[in-house]
Amino acid sequence: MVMLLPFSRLSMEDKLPMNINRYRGQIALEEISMEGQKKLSSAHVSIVGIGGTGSSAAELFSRIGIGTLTLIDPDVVAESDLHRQVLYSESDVGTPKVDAASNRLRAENGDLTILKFRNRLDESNAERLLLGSDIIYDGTDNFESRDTLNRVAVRTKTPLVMTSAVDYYGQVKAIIPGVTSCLACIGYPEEGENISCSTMGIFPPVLSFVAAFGVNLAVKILLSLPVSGDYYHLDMKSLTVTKITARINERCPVCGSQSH
Amino acid sequence: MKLRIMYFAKLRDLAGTSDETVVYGGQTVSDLMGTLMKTHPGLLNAGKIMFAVNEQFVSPSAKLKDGDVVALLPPLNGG
Ligand SMILES: [Zn+2]
Repeated sequence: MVMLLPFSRLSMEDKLPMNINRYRGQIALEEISMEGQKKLSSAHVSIVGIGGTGSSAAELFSRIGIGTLTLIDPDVVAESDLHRQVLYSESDVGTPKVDAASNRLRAENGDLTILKFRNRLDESNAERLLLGSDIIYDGTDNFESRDTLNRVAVRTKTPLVMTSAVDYYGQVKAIIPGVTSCLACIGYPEEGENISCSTMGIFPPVLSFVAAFGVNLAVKILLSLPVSGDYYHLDMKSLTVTKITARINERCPVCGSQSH
Repeated sequence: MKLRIMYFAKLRDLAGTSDETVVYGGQTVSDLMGTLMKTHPGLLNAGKIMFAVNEQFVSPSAKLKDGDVVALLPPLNGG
């Protein structure tokens, strides 16, 4: 059902940076409203890794009306990605993911500005590729990249939404530098044996679940709604979501007071 | 002291249980892990583990007390 908005809520300004009609279904939500929609349409979200969680998240960010998306991924689309990476079609196999993704996302939302980088993000290029981001969305698939993102987010004071998934399980955490704990505060490893979705197995719906959860946190941060740094463990086997409190560790090697 | 141990994700399979109560005579979380690995040798293959006590993350050197609920989570890396 499409709810028609009272005229008073639609006539705030003559010139708006987006097509109101398109978003009226979400503008009707009190937490978003016209003011929030304007924030979303002027926001810049960078997605690092547009694989399982990243491609689901990109689609949600695009449809919800985020103004600018930066897409960063070094890979090409493989046939074995198609069962879980929702942005890609059979005809995209062999195409760089950033190209296939931006074509698809532009078709979904012509208002969207897309910056694309066919790069593997690392310490040497991270700050350049992520320049201007209001939020970083972590769609990577290994401990080392997450550690890099965590450090860059803390250093540049840019909020980061970490998402990860394997098997039937997912984990999500917001990192708001200066406000919440970071990944290193809770003992998330800097490196380790990486168990990929293709070797360990992945139940594709868990990726959409995790991405939806992460996009929700990102949108709340963009709308200046309260977000904690709690760690969420999502389990599609037992159908549970567990929240674990993740306090700032004063002795954290990345964000703690003794790290400066 | 009596502790309740909760295993998450693949640690459930490695321990063979999702939840158990143990009587423990040691002090820290890392000592406890040594004990649990003896009773559940599958945990030796667990790789890295994150620890929470009473729903809050702690370091392996954290001290335990009677009645604590200890959660063991594998950090996930895929995506
Ligand atoms: Zn930290």
